Amino acid sequence: MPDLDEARAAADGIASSEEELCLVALFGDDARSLIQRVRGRDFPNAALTKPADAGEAERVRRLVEILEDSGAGELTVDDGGTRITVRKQEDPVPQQFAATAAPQPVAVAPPPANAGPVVTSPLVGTFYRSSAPGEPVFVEVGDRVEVGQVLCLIEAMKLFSELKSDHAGTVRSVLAQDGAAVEFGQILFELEP
Amino acid sequence: MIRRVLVANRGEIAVRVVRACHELGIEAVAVYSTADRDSLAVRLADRAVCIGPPPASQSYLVIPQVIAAATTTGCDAVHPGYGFLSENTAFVRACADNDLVFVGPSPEVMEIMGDKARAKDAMRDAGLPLVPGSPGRLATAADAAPIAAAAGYPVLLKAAAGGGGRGMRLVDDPADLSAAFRQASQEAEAAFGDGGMYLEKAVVDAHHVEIQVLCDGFGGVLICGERECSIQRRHQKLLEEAPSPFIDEATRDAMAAAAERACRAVSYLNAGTIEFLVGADRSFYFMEMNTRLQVEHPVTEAVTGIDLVREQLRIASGERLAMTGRASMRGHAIEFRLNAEDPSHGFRPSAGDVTRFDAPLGPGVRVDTHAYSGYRMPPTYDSLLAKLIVHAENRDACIARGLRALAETRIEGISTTRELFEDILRERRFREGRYTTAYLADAAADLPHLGPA
Repeated sequence: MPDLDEARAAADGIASSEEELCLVALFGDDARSLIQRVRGRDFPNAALTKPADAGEAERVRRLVEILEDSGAGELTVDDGGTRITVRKQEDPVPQQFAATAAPQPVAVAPPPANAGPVVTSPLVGTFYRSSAPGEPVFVEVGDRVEVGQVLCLIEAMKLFSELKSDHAGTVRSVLAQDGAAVEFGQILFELEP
Repeated sequence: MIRRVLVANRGEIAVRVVRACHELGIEAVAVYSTADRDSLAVRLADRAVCIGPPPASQSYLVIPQVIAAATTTGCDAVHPGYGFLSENTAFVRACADNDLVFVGPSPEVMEIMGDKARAKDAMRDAGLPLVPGSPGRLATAADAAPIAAAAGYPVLLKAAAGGGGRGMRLVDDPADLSAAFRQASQEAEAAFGDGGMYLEKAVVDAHHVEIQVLCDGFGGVLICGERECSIQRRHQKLLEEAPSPFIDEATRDAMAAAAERACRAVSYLNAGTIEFLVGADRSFYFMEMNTRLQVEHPVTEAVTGIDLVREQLRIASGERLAMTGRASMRGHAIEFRLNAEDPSHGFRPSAGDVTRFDAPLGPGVRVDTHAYSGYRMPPTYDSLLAKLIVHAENRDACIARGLRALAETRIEGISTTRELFEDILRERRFREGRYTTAYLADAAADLPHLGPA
C-alpha cells in the first residue's frame, strides 16, 4: 500500500476520510467518480472537511435557502449524477368570506413556477396597472423592465404610490387584476432575468 | 347596523372583538403583520389582510395600511381594541375621512383626554376632585419647585402626553426635583414626542380604582361599577378585581356620580374608563380617562353580565343603550394577566414556543387568549399571553376558584406569571383585601415566585 501522504496528494482533495483515501488509492478514477457522485461537485471545499453525507445535507440546506429567498414553489438541480428537488408546502389560506358577502378575495397569489425575481406589494391598497382609466398599462407581459421602472400604482387612502421594480428582467406574468385589493407581501409581478 | 368590521389590533383583543362581531352577525376582517400570520384572530376572522412586517411601526401603527385594509375589503367600521391606534386622533379622523365608523369616542374628546393637563382642566370644570399639583403644564424645573412645596412631598412628575409609567418620576426630596424633571422630560420626549410635564402630590398607600362607563349617542350613560387595579408592577396592572375589597358603598356611589359628571361634561360616546387614585382615607382623585376598551374589561363583564364589546358595536351602530344609570353587580370577579414573563427575574420577557397550553375549564372560568399549544410568542409585541377571569358568588369563593383554575392551567415552553398569582392568592394581605399599589414590594417576602426586580 502506498504511503499515506502520497495517496493524499494523489487524491487531490477528493477524499475526506481515510476510508475514502483508501478507495482512491486502491481503485483510482473509479473511486473518484463514485465519491464525486455521492457528494456532488459544487462544493469541493466542503468535502475536504466534512464527510460525504454532511456535504450532501449542506447542499440541500442551501437549496432550501435559495428556494425560500426566491418566492418560487419548487427548485430542481440536476448535475448529471445527482438530481435534487426541493418543494415548498402550500401556506394555509385564510378562511374566505361567504360567496355572497365579499368583494374580490385577497388571497395571496400561488408561488410562481420559475425561480426568477418577483415584485411584491409593499402596501395594502388597490392595484392599478395604468396611470388613469383608459391609459396604456405601465408594463405588459413580455416587456423588458429596468431597475427603478414603474410597474403599477397602489392606491391607499386616496394616495397613489408608484411601485418601481427593484430587478431588471422581462415580465413573465402579472399576478393581480387591475383594480384588485392587494396586501403587504403579495406577489404582483414575476420577472425573468 | 354595522355589517363588516376591521379589527385594527392583534393578540387576545383581536380575538375578543372578532367573537363579539360574530355574535352580532357582523363580519370581521383581521389585519396582521408577517409575525402574526398563524395567530388565532387571523384564523377566526372572516378574512385577513397582511399589513406589513413584524415591527408595529411598520404594520399595526401605519394608518394608511390599516385604513386601506378596511376600505379594500368593504368594511364599514373599525374597532381599534386597546393600544396601537386606539387613542390616535389622526387615525380616528382618517376613519371618518374614509367613511368608516370608528368604534369609540370622537377625536375631539380623545384629544382632551389624551393630554393629561387638558383632561384635568376639563374634569376640574366638571367638578371632579383632583390631586393637588400644577394647574397645567410646567414650563421649567424652576416652575415646579413652588408647586411641589405647596402640594407637599413626595410628589410625582408625569408626562403630559404619557402613560405606562414612562416619563414619570417620584421625588421625595426637594433637592432632587430639577434633575428628575430633566430626566423625565427627556424620557417623555423620546417616548411620546412631547416633553411636556406636570406635577402632583404623590398619594401614599394609594389604590388604583377605575369606573367603567358606556355612553350612547342619545345622552344615555351607564355606569358599570368599579375595578380595583392596585396590583401592578412598574405601573402596569397584573391582577384586577371587581368589586374593590377596599372602597365602601358611600365611596362607590360618589365615584359613580363623579364618573357620570365626567361623561356628561365632554359628551362622551362609547366605552371608556375613568381612573381614580384613592387614598388610605378613601378620598379619591381623578387621574385620567382611557377613551377605549381596557385589557381588564372582562372583570366588569363578569359581575354586570354586560358584554362591553357587543355594546360598543351597538353604540357605534347608532343604537340606544337598553339600560342607563347604574348597572347591577352580582358576585365577585378576578382577572389574572398571564404574561410571558419571568417574575423571578424582574419580569423579564420570555418569548418563544408555547409547547403546551392547556387552558382551565369548569364553572365560572373564562380565558381570553390568542395562544394555543404550538403557538410561537413573538418577541416583537407586548407580553400578554392570556387573561384568566374567574367569577363566583363572593370574594372568598372567587379566590378559591382562582386557585383551582390556575392549578389547572398548564403552559410549557415559556415562563409566565401563573405561579406568582398562586402565591398572591395564598398571601394573607391579599386574602384579607388589604393591599395598595405598593403590594408587590410590601408582600415580596411572602411571594416565593417573585424575585428581585
